[in-house]
Amino acid sequence: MTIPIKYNIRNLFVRKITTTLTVLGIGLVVAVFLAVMALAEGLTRVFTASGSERNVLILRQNSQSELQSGISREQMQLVGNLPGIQKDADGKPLASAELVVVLNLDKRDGGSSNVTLRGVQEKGFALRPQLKMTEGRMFVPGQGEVIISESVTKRFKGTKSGEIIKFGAYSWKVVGHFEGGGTAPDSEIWTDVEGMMNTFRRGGFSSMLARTTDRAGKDQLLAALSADPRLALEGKSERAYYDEQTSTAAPIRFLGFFVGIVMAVGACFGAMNTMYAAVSARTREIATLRALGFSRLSVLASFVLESILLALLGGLVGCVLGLAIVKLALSGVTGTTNFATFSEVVFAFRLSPELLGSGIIFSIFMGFFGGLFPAGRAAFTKITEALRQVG
Amino acid sequence: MKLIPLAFKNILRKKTRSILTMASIVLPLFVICILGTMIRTLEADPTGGKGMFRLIVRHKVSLANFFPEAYREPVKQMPGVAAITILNWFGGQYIDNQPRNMFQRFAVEPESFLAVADEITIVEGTAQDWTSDRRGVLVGSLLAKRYGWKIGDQFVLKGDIFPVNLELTVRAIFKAPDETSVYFNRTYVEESVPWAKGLVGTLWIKADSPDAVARLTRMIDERFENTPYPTKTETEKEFQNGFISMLGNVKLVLNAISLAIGLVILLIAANTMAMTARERVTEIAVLRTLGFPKSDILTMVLAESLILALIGGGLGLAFFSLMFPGFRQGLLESPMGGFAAGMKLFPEVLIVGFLITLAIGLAAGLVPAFRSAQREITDGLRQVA
Amino acid sequence: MAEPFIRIESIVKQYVRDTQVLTVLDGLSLSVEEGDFVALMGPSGSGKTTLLNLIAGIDKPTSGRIAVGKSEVSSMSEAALARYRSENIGFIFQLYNLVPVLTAFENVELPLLLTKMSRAQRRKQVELALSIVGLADRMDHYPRQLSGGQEQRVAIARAIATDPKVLVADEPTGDLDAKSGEEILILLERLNDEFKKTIVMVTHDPRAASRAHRLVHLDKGVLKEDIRAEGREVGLEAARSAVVS
Repeated sequence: MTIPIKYNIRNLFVRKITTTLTVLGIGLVVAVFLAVMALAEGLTRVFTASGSERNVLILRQNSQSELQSGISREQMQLVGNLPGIQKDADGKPLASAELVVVLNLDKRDGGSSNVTLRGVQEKGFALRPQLKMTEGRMFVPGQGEVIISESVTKRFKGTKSGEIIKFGAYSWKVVGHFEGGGTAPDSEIWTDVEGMMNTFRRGGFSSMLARTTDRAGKDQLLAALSADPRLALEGKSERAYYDEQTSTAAPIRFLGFFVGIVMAVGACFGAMNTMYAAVSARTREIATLRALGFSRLSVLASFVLESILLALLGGLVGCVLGLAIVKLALSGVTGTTNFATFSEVVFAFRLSPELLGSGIIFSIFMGFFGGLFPAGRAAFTKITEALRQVG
Repeated sequence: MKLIPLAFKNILRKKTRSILTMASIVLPLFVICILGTMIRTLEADPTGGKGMFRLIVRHKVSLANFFPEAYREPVKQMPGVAAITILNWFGGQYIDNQPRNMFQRFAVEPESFLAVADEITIVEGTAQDWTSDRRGVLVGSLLAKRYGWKIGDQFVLKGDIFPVNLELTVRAIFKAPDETSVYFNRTYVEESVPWAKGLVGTLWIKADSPDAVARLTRMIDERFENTPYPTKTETEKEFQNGFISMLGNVKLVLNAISLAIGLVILLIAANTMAMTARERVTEIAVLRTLGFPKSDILTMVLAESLILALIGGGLGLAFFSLMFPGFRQGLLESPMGGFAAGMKLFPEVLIVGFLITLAIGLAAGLVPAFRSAQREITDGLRQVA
Repeated sequence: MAEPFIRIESIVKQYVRDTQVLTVLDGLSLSVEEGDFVALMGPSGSGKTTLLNLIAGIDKPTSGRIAVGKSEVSSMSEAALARYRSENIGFIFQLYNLVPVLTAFENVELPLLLTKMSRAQRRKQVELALSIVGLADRMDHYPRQLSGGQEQRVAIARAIATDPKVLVADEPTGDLDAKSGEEILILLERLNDEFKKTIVMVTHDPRAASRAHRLVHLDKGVLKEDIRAEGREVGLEAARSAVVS
């Protein structure tokens, strides 16, 4: 026999103040947890959404990132002829040798930060089909022109179409903007690689990106790269390269869990207090239920359920609060430094449905642990003594 | 005041509740203290005042970008420069990449380095021993203890930015606020890596006055602004905290989280007080009937709330003070070592922690206290508890 | 003839409940002589408890005058009322209302905390009060360790600790068995007789009422009957008739 859930719901409404305070407490814990996790999630998504499984990124052996890597013109020619690389309609390999240099620009909200300037070859765009021009026009090679992602423009001064960006002795004209669907190029400025090599007086590239025909083609290319020791290059799927950088979000995630758990322990105690009070206020009632024939187990289940309901309300409030914070207060783009590239990753807070779900589960845990002991006390109430007790 | 003993007894009445309420303050307050210490560390000067006079010039983008050694002369000629030296971040590996084997390695110019880094005291070996051996290394005493290094011991650093394996001999051991670094001669690196010749990671400058600091920062950066290698000059404090500030607005995040934690504690404590006050409606009416004035009732409920919060908060602060040395030690051995070196048991963090506790105690008790005192006696007596 | 000790003149007490005005006392007047023992009777809602509360100074009349001794109770401020209660009134409740976290001694000491007495004086006073109610040996017991009758005796000790002139009792025997109730009544009689306390007691119980010297019967907020004892007590007969009518 189970005690109807109506009984618990009504009891929650009877204790308005206590229920409200407990729900708010749990809600706040869930909201903070969600906000920090949304930060980590947004950052992680930049990396997980970037990079295609079919694209292979080629770097100098033992390079952690494109920044430390170097590829000569000769190496580029050799790589272009390796097997496995898809040919474009014009019969040329679908590959782009690129140069990356980190610039330091002034931010709109004060201070300065690093941004990656990437020089690409003609095929660079075909390799990243998620890129869409949103404003202005494409740069003309050799003219010192750049296009800048919308997100970077939001965060850095002097990066609008028609403006000139300046770093040290160098300057470029901004001619257009693009949008990369929340992937890595959203944190970048692009120009043509030959012009850029001229500007910086570099003889070589940083890295090379190539589209392979299919899975077999990818394996072929990777094998060919490692088979030639003279090349001293290594390839990995673009996907894998970005996956390695998701660790950038690890400290934030750690902070989220750490703070979330500590606050949850506090909120759990709060819920426990509420439930203990509920149990002691209803001692006679519980005894009556037991006298009516409800088992210990159903009393236990009923109170645990009530506690979970209480926490669930908190979880829902937390989700609404979290959504409100992320959508209203934290809706803009933010940035942090990716220490693998020493430049800023621009991203937006992201509160995914999965994350909201985890917030709810989190609250259920709080309710369960907060309710267990008080429910135990309720279940072991001595019927006769409790009935004798004066209200 | 007369009813304060009763407040104490009331706390003992529902022991489980009081313990749970106190416990729900301890841990969150502990975390607030840690976050507060981090905020304070970000604000504090890790060099204990000396950093005020020290400036660091680096490439505008990062430490891993170099600029020409030729920058040194014009800077040295600027008014206000008392001493100048070159420090190159070497990176590299000692044994492996495990966190316990992480420490800072710098290729320096020994003589001028000692002139600028005047907080360093050599405790074993002599400055002469180190400066005269091109393959000698000056190590922090904390590291010497950790790895059991003694004068004359040798170890190898594997390079990554600079492809060379350095075979170094311990020539001197130093004490300083931050003892998690080793320093060796940059000519050793330059001899082994030809392309590194003439490249500088940072210039460290000792300014002769605080005025010179502000002036030099501007002068140096303006001097190199339009070159292929623009620079960023900052005080040592800004430089040390640079990594943290590169993460974004860390201080804001830490403050926001602390605030949220504080609010959660407040809600829990307020809930306890609301429950307590409601269960004692009749009792309070009886006290009023006996002739206790409203102010006594107000004081009693507030006192109970304050006592609860202060015991919980006191335990939290004590717990934090007790755990802090171990916590800091743990961080020192991590990649955050440089940051942890500046961490202290800041008295102001404890004071703020105490004030937060006080505020929570007062705020949590305020509404129930007023409601208890204001309730009509006859209403209170009518309620069957 | 001297002025009566408790003077209640044309008292009106109204409550507003959801826009409805409820008149509990409707122009009632009553005087009580010093040293009297008055039982207030009447059906539920007749206003007897309200009248008791007004005398005790824990409620305020809508209009009319209440004076006890030299105190003009009906025109006092909150703070003055608190002092009035502490100095002049001993309140005895139906449910004893002892503070559960305090021992019998500490419960009785509670009202003395409002006086300027020293610790030693308070101790003497508490011991005296507890010995009057016959519980000197139970000083260190907590309320839950006492029987209902004993709890009520501690409550009476608390009421007399400050040596007030007036004792007001709201159904003092209402929650007790016949034997314990009898003990409480004997105690009240003794306090009236020996210690000259003026007692005003609300009760439903004719046996309790029969011990009073005067029986005041209220109905619908007005005085319905006022019986004075011919002998020492009003007697069971009169009390019974008051309940029935």
